[in-house]
Amino acid sequence: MKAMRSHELRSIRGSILALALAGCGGASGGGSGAFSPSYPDNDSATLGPALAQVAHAAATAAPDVAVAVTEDGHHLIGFDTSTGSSLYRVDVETTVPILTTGTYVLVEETGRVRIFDLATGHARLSIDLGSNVTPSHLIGADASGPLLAVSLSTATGTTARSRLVIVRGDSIAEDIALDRPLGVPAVAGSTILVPWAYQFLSVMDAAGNEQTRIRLRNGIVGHAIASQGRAWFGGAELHRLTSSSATEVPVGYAPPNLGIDRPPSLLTNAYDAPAPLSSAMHNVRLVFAPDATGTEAPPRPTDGLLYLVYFRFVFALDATDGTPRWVRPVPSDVVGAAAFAGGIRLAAESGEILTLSAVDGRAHASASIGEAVSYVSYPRSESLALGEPVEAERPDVRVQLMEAVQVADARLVTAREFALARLAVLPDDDATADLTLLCEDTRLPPRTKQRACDFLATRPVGADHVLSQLSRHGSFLDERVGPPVAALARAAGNMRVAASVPLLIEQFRDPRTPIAAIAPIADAFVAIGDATAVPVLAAFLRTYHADSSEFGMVDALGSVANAYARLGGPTALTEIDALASDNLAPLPVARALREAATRVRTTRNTTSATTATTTTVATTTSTAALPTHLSLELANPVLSGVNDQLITCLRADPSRPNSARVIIVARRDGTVAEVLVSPDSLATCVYPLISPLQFPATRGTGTARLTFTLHAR
Amino acid sequence: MPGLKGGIVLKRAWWLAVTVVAIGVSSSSRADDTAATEAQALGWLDSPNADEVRLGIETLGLVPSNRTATALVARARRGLPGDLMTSAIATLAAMETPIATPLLVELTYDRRASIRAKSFEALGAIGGVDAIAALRRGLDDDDATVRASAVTGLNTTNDSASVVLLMRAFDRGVLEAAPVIGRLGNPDQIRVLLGHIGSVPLEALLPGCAEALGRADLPQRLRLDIVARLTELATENIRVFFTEVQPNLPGGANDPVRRAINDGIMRISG
Repeated sequence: MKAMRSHELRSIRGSILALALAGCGGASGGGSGAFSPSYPDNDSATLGPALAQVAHAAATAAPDVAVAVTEDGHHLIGFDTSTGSSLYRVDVETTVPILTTGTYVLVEETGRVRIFDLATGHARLSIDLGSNVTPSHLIGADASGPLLAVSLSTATGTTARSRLVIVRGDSIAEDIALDRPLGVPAVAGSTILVPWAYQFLSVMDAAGNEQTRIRLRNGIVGHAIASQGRAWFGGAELHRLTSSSATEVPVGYAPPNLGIDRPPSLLTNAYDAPAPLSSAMHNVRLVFAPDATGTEAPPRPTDGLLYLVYFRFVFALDATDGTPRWVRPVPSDVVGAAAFAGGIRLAAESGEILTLSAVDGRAHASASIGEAVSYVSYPRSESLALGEPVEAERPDVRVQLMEAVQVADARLVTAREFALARLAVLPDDDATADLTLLCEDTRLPPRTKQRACDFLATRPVGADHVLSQLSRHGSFLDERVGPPVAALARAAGNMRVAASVPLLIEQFRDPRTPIAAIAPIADAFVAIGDATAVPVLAAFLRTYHADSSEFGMVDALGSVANAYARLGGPTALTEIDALASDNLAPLPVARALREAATRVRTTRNTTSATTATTTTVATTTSTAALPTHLSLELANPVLSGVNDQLITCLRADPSRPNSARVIIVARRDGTVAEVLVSPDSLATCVYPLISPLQFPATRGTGTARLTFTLHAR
Repeated sequence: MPGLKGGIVLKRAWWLAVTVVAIGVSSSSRADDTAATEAQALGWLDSPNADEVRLGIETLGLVPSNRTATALVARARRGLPGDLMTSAIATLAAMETPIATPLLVELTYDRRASIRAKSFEALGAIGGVDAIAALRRGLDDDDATVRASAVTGLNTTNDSASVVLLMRAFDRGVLEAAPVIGRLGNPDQIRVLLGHIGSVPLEALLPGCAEALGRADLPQRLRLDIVARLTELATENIRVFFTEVQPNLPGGANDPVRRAINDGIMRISG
């Protein structure tokens, strides 16, 4: 799913504009001639040799060590994850994340960055951060062998003052200052890649001499990554550093739209000061490792997976479309995570260290630091042996998602709804049953429960489960509640399940059935087109047309009249007219009945006048000035205007999908708030068609979500 | 329009008074007047005016017949506001005609709880197999007033086969079932009811105990057990209860149950 996020685009444009105002391409470089304003951008002649140097970088092997900051931030703990033993404990004083890279551990303290040896915890050197009014921060670091590149910056946007410090062994070799912000560098052999000033990636040698420079005009460059002779750069998108990187607008990898509020970006914003350890930013993030073996553009994360860490959940998602491969909770909030080819390493706040398989999320290693920690950093590892699993086989992803939705933790509502949305798109009959359970689960937050009902209503599969649930009725003596009839009726109608009609009739007659479910049932009768419901529809109209005392009855009568008129033929229309004329009928009821009859007559006249009938779905009748909710039936006339173009989008998509799923989030006033499309390659085509549409306004609260499927045939 | 409404009310009172008087006169003229009343009432049933419809419903209650019952059933099926439907059900209940049973059974599915409750009461008055089946179903209704009406209806039908269901309902808090269980239940069922002492409010159980103590068909041992269990409670409520049930007990002055109750009163009075 891919949604357009205009605020992100605005943000990028704003940054670029600010840079231009500060002096285009300019920077006061250090003594090594790096970051010179006159250095040419995107020069293919200099890029080639730089790429060759990166390619010759030897693979690095990091020790199997995790470095943790204790809960109070006063100690650094080195932990051997292979043996489960503590290596060292060092006094520090930090409030921001630490970094581990190569054989180094970097800790920002007040006024300095202390650098320790990863294996022993011995102090190696310290970098003074200065005593300016605006303090510098440790932005990023990377190492290859003895070469360590460290980015320090005030991270104050276009007024930032930064330093690139190059360390060899235990001493500073170069200290290059510039008056631009610096991003997170990478080191490949003796080559250093430095993102800076939002748009630039400078490739330099170990002495800090710039060898080539990439300027990206269609995105932010905040991070550089190097691994196994390959290099990547980017921010919200990930680009492989290749000869085509000199095009200024290379094609990058962007994560699929996760459909959650404030989704984490692919890579953190390197131009902001590091968030304190207590920030939830560290608990909600995307984790991935670039696939060093792939050659395609755009690049892909290794194993084709993107890990979404959300407090104490980890979702392994298909990097292309966001489909969940597995989900699992961990003992407490995740405070450290690093992906590698074959899996992910996690650290929980309670001190547990886990290594999970990319395939199914099973733990292949488990250890405990033995105390609560606030942050854990792993050095990047290019290869890691998984070993044998240390836990039993996990249930299938549907069960995992269901369990995730049901976890009772108020902080996790977004993650639970994310799991719910992923559960809802599984092409699995049992997912329909799960949604039914969730739709009536009173322990869920009301919004989550309503979403479960909405998803249930639009399920394309699982008719047997719908039938099974519709056969259930509430019972006071048996202490049994009735099923979520409204959502089930909508599902039955959408699926055109003829066998559901007798069950829907029973629910229609059951006084326990909420009045809000009467309209969906009536609509389902029409959608299925079964006239056996006509007698109960007529009886309902006769019985209640003179009494609107039940809240919602007027709307219900309108819908029932609509269904009766459509299924009952001319006789039904005559009877509806008579009931509307009954002096005992309250005025709102009489109006609703007349409107229903008029609408059906108009539709019939239109249908007889034009041979082409484009839709067979019910038209929901509402008697108040506005309908209670935006249904597909109401939306269909609006969508029909762009239907052909949507199909064209589908057919023109290079991946040649047979179908596409579109979710429209509409506001009460009928304007479009969001459009989600799967596969997300269609988003750029579909979004401009749907976003300007004006759907009927409703009386509902919040937003309405419409889901439909486009078919290429 | 108050004037019009006032006029309708006056018309209604006047017509009912005239009708009642007319039905009390000699037989030949009474037949004529009844026919006229019926015709007038049937006409009002189709009136567009709600007050006239009400007048028609109430007037038909004074001239019960299969024809008037059938007409009233047909009118109800065409739909009425809640208050008029309640009135129609009450009239049909008063007629005690099985013609009304199918309609009343249908109305036990009505969305309006008040209509369901009235229908169960009416079915209790009319009785019959279909009515009893519906009344049993009424014990399962989600609405407490409807369940209470179903209990009342079952009490009227004297259907002892329903006691099993009534006991389930009692377990679920339908305390109105206690007197019916006491009146219709077998000894085992009454012992189960007695077992609720201490777990449900005594005020809910005592009507059931009163019914059971008043039954000569129950084993004396059981009735003495009831007295013994209640005497153990030794509260003022029990003393008052014993005093009130004593006159209704079967058997003479030397009946062991009566003597046990007297002993209980004295012990509690202390």
